[in-house]
Amino acid sequence: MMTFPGKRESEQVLHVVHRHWFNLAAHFFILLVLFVVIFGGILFFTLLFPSLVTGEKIRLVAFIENSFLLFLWLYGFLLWIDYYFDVWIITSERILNIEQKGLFVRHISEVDFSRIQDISTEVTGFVATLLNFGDLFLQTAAETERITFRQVADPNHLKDEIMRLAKRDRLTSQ
Amino acid sequence: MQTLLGLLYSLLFLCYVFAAIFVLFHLLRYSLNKHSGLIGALVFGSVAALLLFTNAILFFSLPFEELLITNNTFTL
Repeated sequence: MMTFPGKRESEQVLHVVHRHWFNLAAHFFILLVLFVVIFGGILFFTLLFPSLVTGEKIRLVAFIENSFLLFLWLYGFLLWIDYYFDVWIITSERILNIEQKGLFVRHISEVDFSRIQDISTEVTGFVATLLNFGDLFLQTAAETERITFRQVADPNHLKDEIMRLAKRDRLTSQ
Repeated sequence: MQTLLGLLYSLLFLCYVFAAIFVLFHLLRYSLNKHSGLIGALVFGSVAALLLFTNAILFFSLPFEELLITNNTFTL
C-alpha cells in the first residue's frame, strides 16, 4: 500500500510521479560503460598476458574484479535511490515534493491546491521532445517557494491534471 | 608495506560497509511501498553481503609477499 510520513487520514494518493525513465537509463548507461570497460579490460589483459591468470596472481585478478563489482553494485543502488526517492506525490488535498540528493540530503515541501497560483511546463532538447518529458514549475501564492517537477513524463498532461484538481478544490471549498 | 595495505583496505572496506548500510536504511525507511522496499533491501543486502564477504576473503588470501617481490623484480 502506498503511504508516506504525515499522510492525512482524509487524503488519497492520486499520483506518484518520478523522473522520466530516460533520466535513470542515462545514468545506468554510464554504469554499463564502466562495467564493459573494466571487465573487458581485465579480460583483454588476461588474454594478452596469460601469466596473470596462473598461479597465485589469479587471486589478485579475482580480488580486483570483485572490488569493481562491489563498487558498481553500490553505485548502481546509489543512483537508484537518487532516482526512486526523488518523488512528487499528488494527493486529493495537496502536492508533496520530496527531493533526494545523494544519501544525506532530503528536502520535503508541500503545497495545498488552494495556494497554487501558476503552473508552467518546459520541454527542452531533442530526446525530451521525442520522449515527451520535461520540467513542470508550480508557483504558490506565497511566492516563497516554487516547486519544480524535474524531468517528469508528459508534463503537459500532468499540468492539466493539477489544474483540474486545483479547480475541484476551489469549488468544494466555496 | 603489508600493514599499510591492510590499513588502506580496512578503510575502503569500512566505506563500502557504511555505504551499504545507508542504502539499506533508505530502502527500508523511505520506500513509499513497504513491500517493494523490503524486497529491494533483501536483494541489495544479500548481494552486497556476499560481495563484501568474498572481497574480504580474497583480500586476506592474497599472497602479498610473492606479489610484492614480483613487483620489485619487475621494476628492477
